[in-house]
Amino acid sequence: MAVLTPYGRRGLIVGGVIVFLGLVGLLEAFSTRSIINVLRTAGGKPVAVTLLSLPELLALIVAFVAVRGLLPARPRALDAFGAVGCGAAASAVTAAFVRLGPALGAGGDGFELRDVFIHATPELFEVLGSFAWHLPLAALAAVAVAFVRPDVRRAVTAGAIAVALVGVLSDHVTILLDHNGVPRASTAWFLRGKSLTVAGAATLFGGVAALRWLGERFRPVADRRLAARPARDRRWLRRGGIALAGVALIALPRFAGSYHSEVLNQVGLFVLMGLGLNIVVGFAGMLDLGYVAFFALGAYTMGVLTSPESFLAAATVPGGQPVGPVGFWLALPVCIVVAVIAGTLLGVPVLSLRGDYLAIVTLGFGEIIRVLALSEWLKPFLGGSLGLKRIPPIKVPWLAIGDGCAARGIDVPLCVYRLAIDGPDKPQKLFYILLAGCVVAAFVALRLKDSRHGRAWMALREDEDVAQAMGIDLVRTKLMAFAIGAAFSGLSGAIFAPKLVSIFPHSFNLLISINILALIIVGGMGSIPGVIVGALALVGLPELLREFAEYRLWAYGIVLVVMMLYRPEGMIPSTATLRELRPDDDASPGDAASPSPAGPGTAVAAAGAEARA
Amino acid sequence: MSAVLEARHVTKRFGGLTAVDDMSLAIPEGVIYSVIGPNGAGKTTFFNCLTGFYLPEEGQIEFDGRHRLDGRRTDQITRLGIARTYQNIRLFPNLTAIENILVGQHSHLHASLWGVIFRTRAARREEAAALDEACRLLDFVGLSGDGDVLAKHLAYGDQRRLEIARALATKPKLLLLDEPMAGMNPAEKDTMIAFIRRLRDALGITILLIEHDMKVVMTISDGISVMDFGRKIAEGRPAAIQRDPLVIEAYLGRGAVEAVEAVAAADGGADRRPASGDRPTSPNEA
Ligand SMILES: Nc1ncnc2c1ncn2[C@@H]1O[C@H](COP(=O)(O)OP(=O)(O)O)[C@@H](O)[C@H]1O
Ligand SMILES: [Mg+2]
Repeated sequence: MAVLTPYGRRGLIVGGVIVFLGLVGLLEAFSTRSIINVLRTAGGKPVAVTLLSLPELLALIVAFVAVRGLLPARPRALDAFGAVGCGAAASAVTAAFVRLGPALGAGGDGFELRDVFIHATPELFEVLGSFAWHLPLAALAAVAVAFVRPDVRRAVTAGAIAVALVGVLSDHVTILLDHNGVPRASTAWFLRGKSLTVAGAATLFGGVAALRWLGERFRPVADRRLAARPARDRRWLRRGGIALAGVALIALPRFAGSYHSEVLNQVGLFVLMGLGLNIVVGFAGMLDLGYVAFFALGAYTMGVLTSPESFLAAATVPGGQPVGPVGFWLALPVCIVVAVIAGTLLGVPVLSLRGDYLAIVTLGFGEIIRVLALSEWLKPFLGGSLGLKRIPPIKVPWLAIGDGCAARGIDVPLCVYRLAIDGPDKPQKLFYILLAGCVVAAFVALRLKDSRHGRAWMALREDEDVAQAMGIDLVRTKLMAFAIGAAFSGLSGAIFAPKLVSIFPHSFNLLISINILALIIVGGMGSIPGVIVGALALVGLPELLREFAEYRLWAYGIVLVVMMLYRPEGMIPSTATLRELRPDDDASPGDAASPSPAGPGTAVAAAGAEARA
Repeated sequence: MSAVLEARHVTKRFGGLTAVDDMSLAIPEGVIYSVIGPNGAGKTTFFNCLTGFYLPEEGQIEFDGRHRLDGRRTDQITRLGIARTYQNIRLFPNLTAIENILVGQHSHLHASLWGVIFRTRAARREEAAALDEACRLLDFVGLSGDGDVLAKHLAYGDQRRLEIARALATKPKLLLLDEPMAGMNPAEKDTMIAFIRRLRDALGITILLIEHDMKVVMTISDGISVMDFGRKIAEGRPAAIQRDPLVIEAYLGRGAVEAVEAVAAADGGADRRPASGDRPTSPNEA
């Protein structure tokens, strides 16, 4: 029976965790989010009744993870028994709380549970009560999963995640469908109210799981077929893929609508910053906690240069000519240059610092920039706590044709039909600016990654002393990482300023730095697709779950801990570049065949041949 | 023959400990030269002084008869033509074997930031040539086929060889090997001996070697310096070193009988290790 003790103990802990989640208000905040619902007739009228709510899903996940962590690779009957017991114990704790909780403080002895936990409301007890006894199901699922083949397990996981995501975000799905003119009647079998139907959930689950499984099954075959094709074909295939993705991205705002484009823009700003910080932290391994500083510098430079209210607008050059505000496109390179200079300047004092020390100093730098922006001293220039206002919208001069077309009633894509990125569809148009920025940044990061510069950064990350012993100039290499990282962030800030119209010092706090770092870690250190996925998950998702805002940091903490425990390499780990067996497709045959300059390498080859002979 | 490397009165102290004490050494071009001595004698510290990792308190180091090394940064010294391997292997664990070698080529590649971003013709050509050479080096150390394996996933012996390939990629005139045969069996050691000879004979690289195995040292070296407590206590050709009473004492201390045996064994070419040569190494060795 000793085998069962840990299960029992963990069951009590799980119950405690679930009650705790309830007491801090998380479950109640989410109680309106229904994932799957069914129709029941009540009083002759059909009503939608929630079958699975988000709070229940969270509780089930907690129980599932807890049990799974305890189960051995090959569970025996006793383990299964223990697992169910674990779930039952958790349920018992939860149910006991539901029974006894309301009584606490009702006795009139002066103690009120709600004095301590303001979220201990009747609604909470209702929510908890609705699923208190379901937890053994999660335990059973955990046992079942242990017996399933790994490929099937991955497929099932993918299906479950898809159902959870679509279910939780079903209100957004509905909005998007409406926006695109899909009649509700045609999706009624799939979505009902703000929730998936059982049929919808089953279809989604089956479809995604099947796709995942088939994908995993046939991927190697497809890869092998592809590898057998000539490099030229592969190149064209890749170009085709890129073109397709490009068309999809250009069409995206049209289908996303104003609100969701705004969310995408928010993600885009963070992708830009993430790509930059990824160079500093992911490639070069230098922990920079003050990265927001360059974002702020970019934004403030843009504000000062373009706002008609800035001191520059009022200033006059010696000849008496007013300076006047400049346009976005003229100011943009200045913003980037300012960020690059600041990045280099920050780099100099921290050159000899490593790890924790570097983190602390950069953290200080980030705060200094914010405090400076807030200071009385710079108030005449930066506006102090009032910030900079009336930053004009971005104008895209070469798209004047779009205006002309629109005037003649000719339908042209969104991005080209008005000079200024402003008006009701501002988010949709701004999306293209951010998209361009992200594409450039990702392209630069990709190219650098597979170059001598990128390799020098990674060598630095792996072992600074040895990197230096390989002839790498540490000063240059580090400063270059800081400067390029800062450039991306400055660009992001420069777009951020006109997006918001007004900027304030408090928009540039430490939380932004932490946000970016977290999305890099979650996405996968050093991985460029990881930055995008990380930004979608940590910036986009909370934006869609508005009631979640209060718990955002809280969830970051949990996500980071869970990631570190179960998937430290991130959601999309950066992969090693294959070079020997699959040399770069882009190197044209002529280049590869060109004789390399004679040197020790040639001698090495000769010696090698000699040695084999 | 002129000296590739000449160290004069090099002294390195750590607090009260004088790890390298008035070391002088001249290494002629094209030889295989060994530095031996008990653990903690200061051999690795001496290497670290030569490569600029430590700044010696006293003494001068001259390379190629022209360049003063003391006071130069490690990367500058590497670019002058000195490469090294480490006693406890220090590859870049999360880079592939090929990438490790490519990092070694760093100072011989010149593509600018713009060249890389826009993939100019020159940058492409340089990268292709670098890849070619990396593959050749990989082949030379017998690792072709393992190029795309992460360094940390390679077998121990392969890691040692990859480390040498990476050092060769810097195109050195002088290669410092810090106990390259530690943890190898006699057969592997024989292969390594042949390999080191080939480095000298085929590539013309001068080799400075730290090694514990007496038999190996005696077989391979053209010249030997013996260190103990940071000082050089003997120098000469292998045969002379073997008979040097100071050396025997440094290695075997009081065990005079064992000393005689060891010398006899080494003389006869039997595979016997000196009794105290393989003590576990101190943790703070670079
Ligand atoms: N960084 C350091 N700080 C302090 N003492 C050191 C350091 N490096 C080496 N030492 C000491 O210097 C002495 C020589 O070490 P080392 O050069 O590693 O010896 P060997 O390589 O001959 O075994 C040892 O006593 C060692 O503990
Ligand atoms: Mg040593």
